[in-house]
Amino acid sequence: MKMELNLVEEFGPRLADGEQAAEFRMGRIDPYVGICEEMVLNFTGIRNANSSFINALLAGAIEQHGEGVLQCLVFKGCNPVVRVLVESAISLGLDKVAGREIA
Amino acid sequence: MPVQLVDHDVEKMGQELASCLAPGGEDYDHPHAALYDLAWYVFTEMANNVRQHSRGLGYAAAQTMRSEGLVRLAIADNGKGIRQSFVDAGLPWSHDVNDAEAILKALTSKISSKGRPTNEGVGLTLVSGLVKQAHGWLLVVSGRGVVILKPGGEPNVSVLPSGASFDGTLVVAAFRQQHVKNFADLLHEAKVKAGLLQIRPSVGNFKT
Repeated sequence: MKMELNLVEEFGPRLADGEQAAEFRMGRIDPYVGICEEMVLNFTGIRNANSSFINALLAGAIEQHGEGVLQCLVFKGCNPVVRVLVESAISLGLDKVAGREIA
Repeated sequence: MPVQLVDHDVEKMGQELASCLAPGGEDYDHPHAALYDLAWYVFTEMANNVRQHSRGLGYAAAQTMRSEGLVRLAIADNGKGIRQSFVDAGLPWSHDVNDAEAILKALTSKISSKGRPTNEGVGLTLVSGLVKQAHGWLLVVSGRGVVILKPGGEPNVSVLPSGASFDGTLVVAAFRQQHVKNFADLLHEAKVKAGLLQIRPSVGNFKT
């Protein structure tokens, strides 16, 4: 199964609230991770985002489901700022997974 | 521009202030886009802090000096302050630090008073990193503590004079517009220097 989540339709062109992102992840991403072969997070049209939102959206998903979740996640339409934030959230998530494995 | 109360949508507040500061910057290709993006980022991250853990009222303000190209952003709240936020979050070291040391902790990556799953302690850290990358100045006042970052320097730590105390948190950033040309590059450098982004081949699957 392939799923696409259009973030502009969900939140508008600016992503600022980490609590909203965490809620969205738990309701709209987490339940489908084991089911979908491909889950597209479509950032097309997103003008601004901050670390609060993107970290809550992605770092937590990687921490919860492990590095393997990156096999099914596709990041579509990121502008250069959003791309930096997504790369950083992935990095944070992987660090958390690594820290948990060491512990 | 008028002082704004941080009592409505953070993203809307950030948009209003950034638009006022950098007219036209909403358009990604506009010459003011980098300043718009930096202002929006700083205001939304700091306003998230105000809403999520200060438990007080917040105010935001911005100022530009066109002749000097100087930009100032400020956000203040009358909440419980940084040290008390750490205490309330149950961080074991929080009872052993003073206000200024608590501010320094807040400038350190991955130390958060907000708990999960929010920003994992990168809000104020990244704001200070962005200001450093923009060769700017940062002032943080909370409780009796004062921390000032100047371009290229180590943090200057002091206390408010005459036993004065500010029961909340004030953050002021100032920088010259000429140092803010590409926000994505500033953000990337700030993340790398804070240890929040590794320089390695991307493992994410990106598509246009």
